[in-house]
Amino acid sequence: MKDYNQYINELKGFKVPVDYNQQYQKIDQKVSISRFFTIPKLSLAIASAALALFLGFFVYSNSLYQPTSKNGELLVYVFDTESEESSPVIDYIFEGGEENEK
Amino acid sequence: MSNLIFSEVYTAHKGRVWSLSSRYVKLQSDKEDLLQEVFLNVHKALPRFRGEASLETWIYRITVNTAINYLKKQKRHQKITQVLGGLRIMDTVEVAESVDSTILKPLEKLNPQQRTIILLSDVEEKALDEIAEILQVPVGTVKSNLHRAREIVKKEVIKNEGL
Repeated sequence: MKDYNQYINELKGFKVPVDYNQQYQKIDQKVSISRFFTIPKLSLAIASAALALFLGFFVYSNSLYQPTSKNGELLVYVFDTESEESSPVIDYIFEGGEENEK
Repeated sequence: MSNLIFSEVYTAHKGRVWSLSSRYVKLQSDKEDLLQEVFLNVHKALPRFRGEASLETWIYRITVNTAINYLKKQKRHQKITQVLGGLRIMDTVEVAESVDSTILKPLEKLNPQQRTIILLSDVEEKALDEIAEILQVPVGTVKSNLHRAREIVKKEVIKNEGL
């Protein structure tokens, strides 16, 4: 009957052949693939920061060239500011100057 | 670390890694796949190697961890294949019984840690404290697991011989 030591000796003697050079080539291929897909964390952080800065600057510089009112609408800006000023000339035109004179 | 140093590490330790890793899985393609995965992990971790343990112990640690993860992955895959096979979505592939599967059969009853301890202690002839360092567990844990693993294998050897 086969005992434990006999089994372990069989296991020790059991050697599977392998082509180490071929295995090394496969490892090398996998290393180059993983290198290609692995972006260094520092580069990724710098690229993200640069992109955020660029977008921030773009949004900011755009806002400089567009006139905006308090409500954000151009026509409201024009009419509201005119009426707020309540100039007598404007009042005359819009509220019917002739009637007032009478 | 440069490729040159990795190639030196590969040359120096390939035999040891193959000897251990090839006893975890049955199929030749899986054995080769596992060897490649071990050295890929070695390549990734080499720049962080600080020399706290010897290079040999460190490589054994990577081998063992990679092999245990590989076994877990295989088990998950087998379960999925069984479920899909049961639903007739996928054909289950019967693996032909080879010398490998016969000789490794008694080890299949062990959990991954017990299998590792048997292989390192009785096949690779490592000292218990070295195994404890590789597995990062107390020596007492190695001793108790080794005892339990030997009992299981003894029973399995007798059982398989009767077949």
